[in-house]
Amino acid sequence: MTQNRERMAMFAAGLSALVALIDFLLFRKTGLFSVLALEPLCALAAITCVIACARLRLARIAEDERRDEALARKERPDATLFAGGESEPFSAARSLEQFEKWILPAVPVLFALGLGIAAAWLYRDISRAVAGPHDHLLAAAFLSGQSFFLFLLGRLLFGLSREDAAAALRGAAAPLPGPAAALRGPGTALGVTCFAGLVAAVAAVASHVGDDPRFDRFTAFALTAVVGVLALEQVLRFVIALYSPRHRRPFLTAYESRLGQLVADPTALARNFASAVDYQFGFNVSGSWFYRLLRNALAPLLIFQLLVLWLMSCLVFLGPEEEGVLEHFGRPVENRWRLESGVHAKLPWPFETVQRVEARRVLVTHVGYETDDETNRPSVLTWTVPHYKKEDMYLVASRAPQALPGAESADRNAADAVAASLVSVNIPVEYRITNLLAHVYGVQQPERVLQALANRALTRTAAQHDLADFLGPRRAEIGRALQTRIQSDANAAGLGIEILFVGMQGVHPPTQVADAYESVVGALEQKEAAILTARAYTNQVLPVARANAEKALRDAEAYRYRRTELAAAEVTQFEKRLQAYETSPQVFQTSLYLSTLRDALAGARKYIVDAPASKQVLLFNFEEKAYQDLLDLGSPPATEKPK
Amino acid sequence: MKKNITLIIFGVVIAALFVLLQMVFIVRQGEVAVVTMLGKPVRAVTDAGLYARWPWPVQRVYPFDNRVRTLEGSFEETQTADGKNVLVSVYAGWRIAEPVKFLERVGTTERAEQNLDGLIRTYKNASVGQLKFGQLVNTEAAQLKYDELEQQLLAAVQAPAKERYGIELGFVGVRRVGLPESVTASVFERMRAERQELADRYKSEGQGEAIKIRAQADSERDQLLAKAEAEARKLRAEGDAAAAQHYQVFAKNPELATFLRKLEVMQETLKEKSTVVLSSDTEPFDLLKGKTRGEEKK
Repeated sequence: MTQNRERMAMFAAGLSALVALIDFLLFRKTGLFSVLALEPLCALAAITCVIACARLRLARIAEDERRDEALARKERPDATLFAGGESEPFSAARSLEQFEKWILPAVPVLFALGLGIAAAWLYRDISRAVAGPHDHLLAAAFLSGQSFFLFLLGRLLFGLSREDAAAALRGAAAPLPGPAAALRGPGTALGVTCFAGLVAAVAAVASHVGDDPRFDRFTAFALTAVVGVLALEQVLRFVIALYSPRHRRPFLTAYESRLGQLVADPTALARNFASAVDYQFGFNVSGSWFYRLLRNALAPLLIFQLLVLWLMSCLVFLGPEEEGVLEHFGRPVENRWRLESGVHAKLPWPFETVQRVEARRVLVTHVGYETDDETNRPSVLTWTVPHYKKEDMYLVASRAPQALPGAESADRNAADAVAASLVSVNIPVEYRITNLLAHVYGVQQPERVLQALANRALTRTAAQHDLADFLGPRRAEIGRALQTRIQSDANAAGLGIEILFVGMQGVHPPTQVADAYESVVGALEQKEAAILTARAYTNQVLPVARANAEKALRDAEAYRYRRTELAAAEVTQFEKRLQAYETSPQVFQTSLYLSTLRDALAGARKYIVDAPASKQVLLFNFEEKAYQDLLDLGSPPATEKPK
Repeated sequence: MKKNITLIIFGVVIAALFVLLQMVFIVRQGEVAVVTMLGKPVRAVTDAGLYARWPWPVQRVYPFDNRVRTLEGSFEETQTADGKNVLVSVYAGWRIAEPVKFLERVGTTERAEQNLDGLIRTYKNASVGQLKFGQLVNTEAAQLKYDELEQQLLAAVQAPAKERYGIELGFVGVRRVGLPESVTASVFERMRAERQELADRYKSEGQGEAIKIRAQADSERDQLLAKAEAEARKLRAEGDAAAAQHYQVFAKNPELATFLRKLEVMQETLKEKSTVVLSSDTEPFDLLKGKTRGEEKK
């Protein structure tokens, strides 16, 4: 009988491996990723079955050996000298012991690693997938079939695992789980695989019907997540069992998964939960009326909750900026389709639905630029710095420049070249939704339409104005014209909006040529500076010249006066002296001469030399001083000639 | 047993819901649904509301959004009639006119937009190629031909779209007109050169003004000085003339005048610290000689 269990386990392992192979081929053929996600689960089931089989076999052989030994001892007591010794070193019991001590604890870790790696691999593969799946129905058929077989096998293994417990209850005292409980692990794994197979089949069918590969991809991701969670659970189990004081042999089964049991064997989970609660609280909680009441009420409570959630869609809350359109089976209800902000009651989904529209808010669409978050804006907006992340340039006409003399050749070249300039314009268009029905049911994506219309209006307006008009005093006028045009276009397109404001901000020549514009202002400044410097020169030079002129004139006048006066004085003096001279010429002459000499020679150094008519040569050395004077300080400074 | 009944009822309700979902479909306002029976399109439902159907795979429902949708064309380069390269982007508003034909010929909105885009581009390049650049950008608004371009494009594309795809085109508009990169660069150059010319003009005007002002100042100064000098000379000459007139009195006794002048000169030139060597014959120093002689004479 026990060999029967082993055979079942090996058969289950073989079937799981076959299922894995089939799934792989199926994936290759159809490209469905949820099928690929089943692979790790099938592999898990196969390995679990093999390990369970090995354990069962070891247990059986150990049991046989023990029985043989007991029989042998009964027949021949005290046959050996050394009685009561240890059992043989290579017996099956020993092997089982070693198996349980070393291999079984390592298995969860290996499972965790394997499942984790598989999950990561799957995730990468699914994320990178490009091609869409096909032949969904074929895959769905295969998957349903294999799920059915796996389900049967799983239930069978679970049943087999409970045999020993039943036998133990019949006779033995302590209900220790027997070795057959090892089959719980494979049962769980098979149950999980079966459930996953069913989910994959449903996803395949949904993909086919909805013609949307996203169902399949979503399911594949979900299954990958499940594999990952199972891996984590194994790690958790390993850690908990390592520190758990409860079981003497904590690693009874190779694979034990609470989550798996939730899917594969729900009733066992309920039982385990009850016994766990009993253990925790210390008394028979699971027998109490409260617990039983809760257990009975669980399902209805859930249903009730779902119902309430559904009925909550009866209430609609519209914010202060919103208005709503009430639809009954998709059609706006006559006469009372308009919902103001506040709370409203309606039939639950899908009987009645509400379309929310931000009708009270002033909405903005940006023409000619893309905004980014405001924190990146430079604090000073000059023309040489881009104002926004991306600014479009629009063509503006350019009037022929004023012909400078001698520039005819330049004009001829200009006619060949493109007679346009470029300008960057940042125009926010503010609008409000006025006609709800037209806005919701008239056009798809009304903001895009508005932006296209605004761009069109701007292109036309720009193409017929000169750059100077845009930059100069006509800007506001152009803005108003733009607003009128956009409004009429929007009405013609049936958008149901009212344009509130068209702002002509940020009109500037492209940043690449802005410095040339700024340099013109600099040139004007330079012109002014040159003129002012010249004027300063004038102011400096002329007063000085005037002063000098004055001075020359005054000098000349003084000279004239002096000459005239002096001459008169001299003449008077001469006439007086003439009178004196005529009185006595010789005396006058001599006395005048001597008095003059006296005055003249008073300060001079005099050498009086007797000058006979001889041939004596006199040497005077005027280099030496005649007498040293304390106040001899060199030659005297030149003094003014008295006039 | 009670729990089982609850579960069974629950399961039945869920199953019924599933079946019900497959037996009805809702068409919303602004949507059109095409119903196919075993793959063959049977009818198109445009009115909003709740309708009955057979579940899949007997009948299948394809819902489409029936509202006007905007197709944004790409910013593409074409050539105008006078050989200028411009970038033009066009947008079009379309909606499904014949749902059954749309389902058969096109199937999805994305494919419809692809097809329409190709259709529009063909005619767009042709239409733009008939216009001159001056009809796209001009200071005189009357010369611009945007309306004609749009109408021409709409007329050209409407019929094929309707006939081929079951699509009705509502409007076509020129979204933007631009210039390719290379031309943009040369337009920038021209704008920059224009500004530069203006700047240079201002600068040289300033310099010219400055030179003029300086020259004027210089000439004024020279004039002032020259006038003053002339005046001064005249005054000095007057002085000299007056003096000369007075000096006629010296003609009465020129010897005396000369003598007096010599005395003046002598007085002025013999200063302190001058060394004079006099002969003992000079008066009054001849007294020294005379004193000794006087004694000898005695």
